[in-house]
Amino acid sequence: MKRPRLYRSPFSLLLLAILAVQGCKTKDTPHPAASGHYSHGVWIVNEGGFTYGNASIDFLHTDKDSLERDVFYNANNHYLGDVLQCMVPYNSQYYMVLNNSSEIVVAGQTDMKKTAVIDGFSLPRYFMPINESKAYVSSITGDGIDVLNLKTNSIASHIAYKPTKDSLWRGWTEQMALLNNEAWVCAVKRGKILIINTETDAIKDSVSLSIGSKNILSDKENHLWILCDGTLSLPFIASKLYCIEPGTRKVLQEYALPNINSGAGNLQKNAAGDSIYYVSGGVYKMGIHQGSLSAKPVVDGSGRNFYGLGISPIDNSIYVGDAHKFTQNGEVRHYTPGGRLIKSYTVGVGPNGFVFAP
Amino acid sequence: MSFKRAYMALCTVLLPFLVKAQYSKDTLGNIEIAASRNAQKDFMKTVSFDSSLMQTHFAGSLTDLLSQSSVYIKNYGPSMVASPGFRGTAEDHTKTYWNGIPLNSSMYGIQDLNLVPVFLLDGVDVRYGGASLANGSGGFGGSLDLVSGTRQSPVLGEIASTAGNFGTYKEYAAANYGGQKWWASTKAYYTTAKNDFPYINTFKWNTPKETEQDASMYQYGALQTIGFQATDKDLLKGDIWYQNSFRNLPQTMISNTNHEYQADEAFRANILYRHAEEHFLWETNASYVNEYLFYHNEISDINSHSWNSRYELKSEVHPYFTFPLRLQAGLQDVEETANIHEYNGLKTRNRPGIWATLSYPLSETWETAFDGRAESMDFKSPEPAFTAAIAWKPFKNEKLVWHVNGGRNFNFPNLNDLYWYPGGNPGLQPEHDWFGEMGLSSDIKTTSKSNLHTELTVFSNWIDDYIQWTPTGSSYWQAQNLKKVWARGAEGSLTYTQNLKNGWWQLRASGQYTPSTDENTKSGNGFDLEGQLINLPLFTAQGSAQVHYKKYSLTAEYAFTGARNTTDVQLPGFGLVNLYAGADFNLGQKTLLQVQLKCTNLFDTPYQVIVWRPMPGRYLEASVILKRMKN
Repeated sequence: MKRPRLYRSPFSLLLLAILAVQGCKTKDTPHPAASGHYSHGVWIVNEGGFTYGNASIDFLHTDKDSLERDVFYNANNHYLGDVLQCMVPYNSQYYMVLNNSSEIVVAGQTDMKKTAVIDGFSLPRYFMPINESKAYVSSITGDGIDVLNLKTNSIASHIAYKPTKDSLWRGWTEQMALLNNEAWVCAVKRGKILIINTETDAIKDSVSLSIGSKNILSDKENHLWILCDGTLSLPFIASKLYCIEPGTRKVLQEYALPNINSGAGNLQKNAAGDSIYYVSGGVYKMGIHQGSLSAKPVVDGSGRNFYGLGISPIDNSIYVGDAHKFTQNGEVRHYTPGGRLIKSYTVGVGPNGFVFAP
Repeated sequence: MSFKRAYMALCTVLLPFLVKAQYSKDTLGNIEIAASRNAQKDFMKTVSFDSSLMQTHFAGSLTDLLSQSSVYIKNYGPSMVASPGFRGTAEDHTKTYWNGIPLNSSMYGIQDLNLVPVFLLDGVDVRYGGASLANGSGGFGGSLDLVSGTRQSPVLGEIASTAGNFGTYKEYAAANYGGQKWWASTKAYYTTAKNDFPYINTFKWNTPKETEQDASMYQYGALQTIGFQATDKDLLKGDIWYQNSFRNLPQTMISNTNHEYQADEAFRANILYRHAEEHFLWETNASYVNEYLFYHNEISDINSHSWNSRYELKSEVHPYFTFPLRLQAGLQDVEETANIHEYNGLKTRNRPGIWATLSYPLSETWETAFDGRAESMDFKSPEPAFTAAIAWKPFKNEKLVWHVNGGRNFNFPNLNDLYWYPGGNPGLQPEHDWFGEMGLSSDIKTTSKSNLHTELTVFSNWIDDYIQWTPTGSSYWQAQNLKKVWARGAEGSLTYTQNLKNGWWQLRASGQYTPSTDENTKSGNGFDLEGQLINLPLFTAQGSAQVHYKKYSLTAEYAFTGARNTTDVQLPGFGLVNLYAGADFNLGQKTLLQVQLKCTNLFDTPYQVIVWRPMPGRYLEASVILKRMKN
């Protein structure tokens, strides 16, 4: 009997099918080398998509108008982590808080080479240096503030804040500001600002505001501005902007934002400290003595998902991160101080902040 | 009694009398057979899993069984959720039915296939695209029809015990008893697994070898079916399925554990009454589903309880005509209720509907078919859906069939899309799908002992008002009717079977090419794969070789999943090889001992279905099954 040749048999069809689909496999895209020169520019903090592990940082060389993508990966040949909440320069290092990785990655300011990893957090949010050897880290589920020893890059102690159990993430702490040996800490779900003695690391006082307190900064007169996002309350309430005199703890100014569904965030100030900016759909600007909210945005956010905001300390130009839907690369849009678009750049996923490198 | 309840009750009772009955050529015989809606198989692609494949995968979940089909499964891991999404559509565009009861959660829109043991099932049909309308709306990709509790089982009783790697143990027991007048079937199962498999963490520096933590699970349940043949014309049948499961939810490669777990409890019951006359067959069904889910996250201090229930009442009639028209028509009413803290109170909705399916031969070689359905949400204006089809069979013995069909389908938003606070949107419109399919299949008897079956299908789904959760620019995301998605592609398969003197062997190969793109943005996410939607492969393929010789069987399977886009990187494709071996030993005239060995991921291939979710490497499992046959 004549034996069937292999190519005529059904086995060959199966083999061909397997070979065909194996051939469809893709190869990893090579990454370029990091340039290693990071001055005269803007760091773009891309938090990435939650659970996708694609946090990244880009560097916009403003002197050359060129964008260097994914600097951390290229400098270290290693992923940064999941959800990069913020990046803070201090002591010639950058401290990068990775929320869903529950760690802080430390890298050199000049070359972005990783020098340390601090772990043991519980969904950390913000890093604030207190002095050469100490820093505070807020968190969503850590029930207080972790105190870091910057000499050993480890958690040295914990300032407990665990209010009565009546809401989810009740101990969530967010942005912080340092004034006169006092750390002012936003306690989001309580609508409070905790005041911590930075010498004793003890909560010594608090100020009650509106639920959703998440952004805080000081202006040129050392008054504190606090932005409360009403969409962090269920049901939603109006977002509010407060100005507080820190010595007396008195509220000097209080404003309710008009659109209850828009929420508010990304409170920033200019280098002079006489104007503040925030995102509520569009980008709004307000002089510290203006006396009322601005009715119109300085940058219209219609059709966009404005997320990160930065004000250039050099020329007050405005950088805004558009996160789109977090399922694709984001976009950074650079505007003049008056709100005219200068240029836009495609950046990593979820651009949530900017760090200006001198 | 409310108006809508009165309406449904009236329709259910009157339906058999609304259809003018005529002379039937069919004999009544076993009236179970008459209820099948698979008469449309020639017009709309439907694939049935054969008994040998079901037996090979008896100790697995539906996820394992479907790995050899063109149904793509988004599997988050062994103790996590696995949901089907095929033909380039989303998870809630695949509808799963058990004995006709919809299983997709009214809250989340999906059915977790990891929670469905194959052991419970007597049959699985995959209905593609428009074929899913036979059971319900919303199956843009298609539907899975799970059947259990059939009367024909030759097994009187069986017990099975399985042990595998990573602390896996499974116990099964079943009994089928009764006679002509009444019969019953009982199945019970218990499975447990540690799922502590090793994997390479490619996210971390120096890619360390780690062990999956917090992934243990257990599951138990029972299925009881009772049938009563009251007369030659009247059948009463009831099913009750209770299931309880507990799953620790493991961390990803990129984050620390949250010490999460999930507990699911489900109770499903169905009662059917079927009456056959010479001129028509009428049946009515009442079903009840109650599901409870508890989610705990220790780090975030979340303790979330959710309940949902569903009542369904449906009635249908199959008249027999003197001319060759086949017709089935029915009414249904579904009431869904759900409660979770984030809904701010109990939510209830009602979904009455009507449907009809018919086929008619235009000539000896041409046949047409039509499935129509209309459903209303809370008695608002109804949404129509239909499939119109035509088939050409140039040869009387049906060796070659060409078909084309097209139509419209819709999918109501799930309750989370509507009511989750914040972000739920009560103003959401149903998603709509315009679809078309064309296929050619052939059966060629290559020799007196061998057969070659080939099938090639092309399809297109244009989905409008696609619901997507998008950021609002604030701290929450909102559900919106946003995207226009075009899912299209081609599917081909080839099966060669040859009978041997004491057995048979078979080769199968199949492949799918499924571009699925967001037509609003056109450019997709700006990465590779031509703008393919995230988590959906462009290419998938499967192949298997089976030999059954005397009392021994050996099966080798290969499944390839192509590269997938995530938000910014591309997950590489992977291919997995599984081996199964089985042997039967007679222990007397009616007693059978079966031994099965299974090895999945034979080559220990590291892979991820979902980005940064580790999957197990090589896995070994052994099963011993003792069966007592009826005859």
